[in-house]
Amino acid sequence: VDERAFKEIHAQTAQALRRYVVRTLGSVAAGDDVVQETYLRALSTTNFPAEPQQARAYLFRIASNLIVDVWRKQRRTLPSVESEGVFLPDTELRLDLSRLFQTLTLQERQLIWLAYVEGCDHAGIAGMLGLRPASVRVMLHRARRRFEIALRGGGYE
Amino acid sequence: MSDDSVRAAMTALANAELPGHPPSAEVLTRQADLRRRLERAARGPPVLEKGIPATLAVVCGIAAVIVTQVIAADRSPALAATGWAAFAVFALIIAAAGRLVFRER
Repeated sequence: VDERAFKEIHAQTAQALRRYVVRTLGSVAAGDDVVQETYLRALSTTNFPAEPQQARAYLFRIASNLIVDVWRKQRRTLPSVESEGVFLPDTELRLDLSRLFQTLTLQERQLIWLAYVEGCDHAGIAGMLGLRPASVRVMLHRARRRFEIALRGGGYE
Repeated sequence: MSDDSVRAAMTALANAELPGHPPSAEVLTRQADLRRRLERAARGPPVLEKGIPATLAVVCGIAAVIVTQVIAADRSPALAATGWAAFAVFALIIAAAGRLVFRER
């Protein structure tokens, strides 16, 4: 991919990719390292797709693998949440969603983020996380149930 | 609790500001370029370049045998066979070197 095409892909993906990585890992510093490594790996491959949608899926796939690697290596040293609390608008509840999200497992966080924020379908998520689409359907259902219970536990009905 | 509630929670989380910024495209392309150069330097010179002194030594040795065979007036059959073998190896080396050079280009 040439430099101009890469700049366009970067402009379209950098913020979304960073949010995905930081929110699922729960650490800004570790997340920024993963984002940087994701782009560097993409730039070093000869088969980095130039088509924006494919490039986006490709970057999220690399990032998802790196997130798992970092989580396995550093889970004991990663701070739970480094950013300021996130609260629901239009509600009196002071429920920090970033902390609540961290109560899920890493895979649950990835599944929920890719489904609800990125709007990926089961096949898309399966490709990014190296799972079967049928497994994604079941696992996503469980993850959503767990998140609902966590939200309810925090007083959010 | 509905699916919309989970969606609302995730939207709030996705839209919340994060400290810092992602690395710029320019920085990333520079770093990728630097990493490529470092990897190339770590790998060392190409095979052909590394093997040149050894290849030259072998070629010179074989050429010396061939020349000896050509110059020698009185050749025994054993010596003549050695000469032909040396000539064959010499031809193989030249052919292999030629292939390497064209492949690297």
